[in-house]
Amino acid sequence: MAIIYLKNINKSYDNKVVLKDINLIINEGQLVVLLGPSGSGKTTLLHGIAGMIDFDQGDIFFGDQLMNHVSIDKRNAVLVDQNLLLFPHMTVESNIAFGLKMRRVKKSVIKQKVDELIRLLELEGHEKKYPNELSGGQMQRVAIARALAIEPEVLLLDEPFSKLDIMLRKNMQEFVRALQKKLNITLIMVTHDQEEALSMADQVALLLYGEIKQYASPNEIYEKPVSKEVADFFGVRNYFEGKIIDGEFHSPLGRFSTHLSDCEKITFMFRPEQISFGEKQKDSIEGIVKRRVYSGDKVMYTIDVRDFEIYVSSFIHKDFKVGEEVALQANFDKAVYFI
Amino acid sequence: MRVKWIIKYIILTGLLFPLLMMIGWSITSGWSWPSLIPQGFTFRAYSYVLEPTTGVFKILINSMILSIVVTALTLLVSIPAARAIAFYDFKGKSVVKVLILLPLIVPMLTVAMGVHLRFIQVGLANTFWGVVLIHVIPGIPYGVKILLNVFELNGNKIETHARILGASPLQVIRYVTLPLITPGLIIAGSIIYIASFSQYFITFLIGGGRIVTYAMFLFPFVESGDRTMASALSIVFILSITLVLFITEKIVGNFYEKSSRYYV
Amino acid sequence: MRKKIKPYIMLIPVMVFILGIFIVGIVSGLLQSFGYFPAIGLKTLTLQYYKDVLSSPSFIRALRFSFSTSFISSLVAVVLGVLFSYLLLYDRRRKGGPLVNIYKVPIIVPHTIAALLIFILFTQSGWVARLMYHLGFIEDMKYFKPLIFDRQGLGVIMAYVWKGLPFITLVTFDILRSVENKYAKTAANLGANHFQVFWYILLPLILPTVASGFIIIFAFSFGAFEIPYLLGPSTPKALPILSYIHYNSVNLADRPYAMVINMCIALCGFITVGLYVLTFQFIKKYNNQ
Repeated sequence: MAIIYLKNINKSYDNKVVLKDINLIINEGQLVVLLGPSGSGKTTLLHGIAGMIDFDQGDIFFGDQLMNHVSIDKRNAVLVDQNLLLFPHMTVESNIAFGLKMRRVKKSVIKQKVDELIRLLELEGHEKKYPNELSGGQMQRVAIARALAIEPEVLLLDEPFSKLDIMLRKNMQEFVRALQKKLNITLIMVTHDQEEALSMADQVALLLYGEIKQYASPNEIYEKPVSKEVADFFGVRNYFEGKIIDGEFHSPLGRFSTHLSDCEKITFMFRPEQISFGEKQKDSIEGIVKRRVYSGDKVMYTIDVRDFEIYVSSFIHKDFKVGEEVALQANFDKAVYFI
Repeated sequence: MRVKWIIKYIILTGLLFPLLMMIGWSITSGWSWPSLIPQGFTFRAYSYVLEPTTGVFKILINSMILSIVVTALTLLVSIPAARAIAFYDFKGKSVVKVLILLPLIVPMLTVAMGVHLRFIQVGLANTFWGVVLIHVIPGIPYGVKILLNVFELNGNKIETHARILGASPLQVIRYVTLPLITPGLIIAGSIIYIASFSQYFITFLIGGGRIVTYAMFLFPFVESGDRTMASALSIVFILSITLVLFITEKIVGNFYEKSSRYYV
Repeated sequence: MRKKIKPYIMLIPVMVFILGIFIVGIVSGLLQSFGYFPAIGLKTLTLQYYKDVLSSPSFIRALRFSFSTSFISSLVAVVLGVLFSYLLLYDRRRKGGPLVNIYKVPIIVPHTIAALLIFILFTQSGWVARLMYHLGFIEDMKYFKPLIFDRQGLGVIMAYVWKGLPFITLVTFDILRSVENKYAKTAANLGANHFQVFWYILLPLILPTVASGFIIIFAFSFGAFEIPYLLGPSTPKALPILSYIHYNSVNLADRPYAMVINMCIALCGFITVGLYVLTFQFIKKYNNQ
């Protein structure tokens, strides 16, 4: 295991830029998630690290070793595809043993390693089964075991849980996270599911349009997005622009007190759940309910405030009807802002 | 990588070089030992083939008609059979499948010699239709298997949907089924046509020498080692097959393209 | 009720041919091979014809000749056909090109013409002999050992390989390509080199297709008349030719001998299929996805 360093990676297909100036350092034993919508280039990046494709520009280092021209079969960066791609004509055992067999490792050593992985990934009793006799979660674990067998420098997972149903997905997320910590392996995972990314990662790299927009811990990327794009991705819906004069935020919505010092231009951002309903008072924002969407555990309101739309989600089932007048409370002291 | 390249071209040469030699022989007026390339040039052999008085051209046309009839008949019986196997569960399905594939394994020589006497008894021996019927047999496994794959791939949901939308059974066939299976029909039809057009032994046996197909006409030239005539006849043979395949693909392909644009 | 009968109705046309011609042909042949031949007054079932045929040296020689030429030609065609398929795959990924189609030409060429091609190349005055002469290997055509009409059936084998190779390539190429697309990179990623990818992943996965291709060309060459007739030696004769000689005899009483040989040819095909089914039983385990 080593530090993985991606330097100035660029890649285009047919003049379409897929990856642009990617720089990324992944520390030993970390679980890094490449998060982004489909088409953001995250899978391309993963394939490039595995050696399945060549980048147009840039260098890949594993430790101090340049990997650009190390062929796919020598690179020791194993990818688990979202389709798993277990070899259908081999048993669970043979699938796991495959990489070692290709390296002509002694049979007794292979046997020992396979047994160890079978235990580790809780596959006891399935050794002689063929992939199509396994459940989704079992297939997943076989694919991971097969990749771990060759003790890769880095384990790469491409949307590993997207095909599992929700309950199994949660289990597998916890299982993989625990396994990664236990074995202290470097793991890069691609997903479009922000909840999955935030709950599993040590570090999250948000990719949009082939660029890394922010690379930070889950907490930081969620609480302190560096740009509107990042904030948008993590569900911020409300942006209030204005200026601060004498501890007061002046905006088209009104004036609100804040402890921030004076500034010409500032944008406050609020997630729908950070704005609440309240009584009419000094700092409240008054508006009219325009839309109401019920989604089980909460209700999402769209409130018309002068020419603005403010999005508010509420857990309390104090119901407001469309057309009703409401007062909103937003805490500008604790809110995240861009200057 | 060099080795792979060399092996590939050796195999390709092995496949194509003999055909080049044949083209050489078909247009030479003399090619004696030990010359490696033809010495004279003439189209005499080809003019013999195309000359109306020799009757070769007529044999070619008759032969094509026979094989087209065989192809049409084989496809006609294969379509419902393939549908039945693809969309219905019935007793004896596996037996039916085996029976249909069996002609791939049991040589036609065995079948033709066995059935010859019956054909004589019912008056089919030495007739056009007798030859057609025996030619259908080796085409059946290909016809059914290929169309079966097509049906299984497409399923019958689209057709059911068309019925739900109010199409009559005939309209469904015209606007849904046919366009869907056309690519399969072309492939199966081509194989059946080529197989029928190439048959020598069973034509000879069941046709009793009365029904002379082009393949039968060619055979004695090859047997006697008349390289120039045999080569010219062979090239006309291959060209005629290519032409038929090309025309079919064009006509049917156009139809398919148009209908698929509107209906699929 | 109507729903139940419907598939059977749809099968009637095909069954008219299969049962009415194909099965009738086989059964008539079978009955005649047991000596039941009412047309010339033979009505008692007997094993005599089988005993006679199976104990005749010419039959044993013919069986050996047919088996060895068919088996060797089919095996060579399969090995080279799959290899060629693999090489084409490799080719396509780089540039593609007309190669992908031009190799198919022999498939539309009938066996009679395949025989002619081999004849043109390999007679004593054939092109290969001329090449040998120019290269100084032989001094005259009479020193060239012709590769046709020979007792080993080399000419027959070459003709069948020429026909069989592109057929095997045709039936394996698509499946090889899809298997390669799906699994090759995964296998390479786990450390398999080109050869290992082919040997441990691609080949096993296309093996059922390859095997059925083998059976089709083997069964065909075992029972076909044209090529051994045009390129084979006068002794030993191939089984189909031996059969035809008996069939065509002026003495109709010889026909049961032809039928016995025909049944042996058919039986050999069945045995091959049986072996195939047995061997690939286990494939069902992973193949019914």
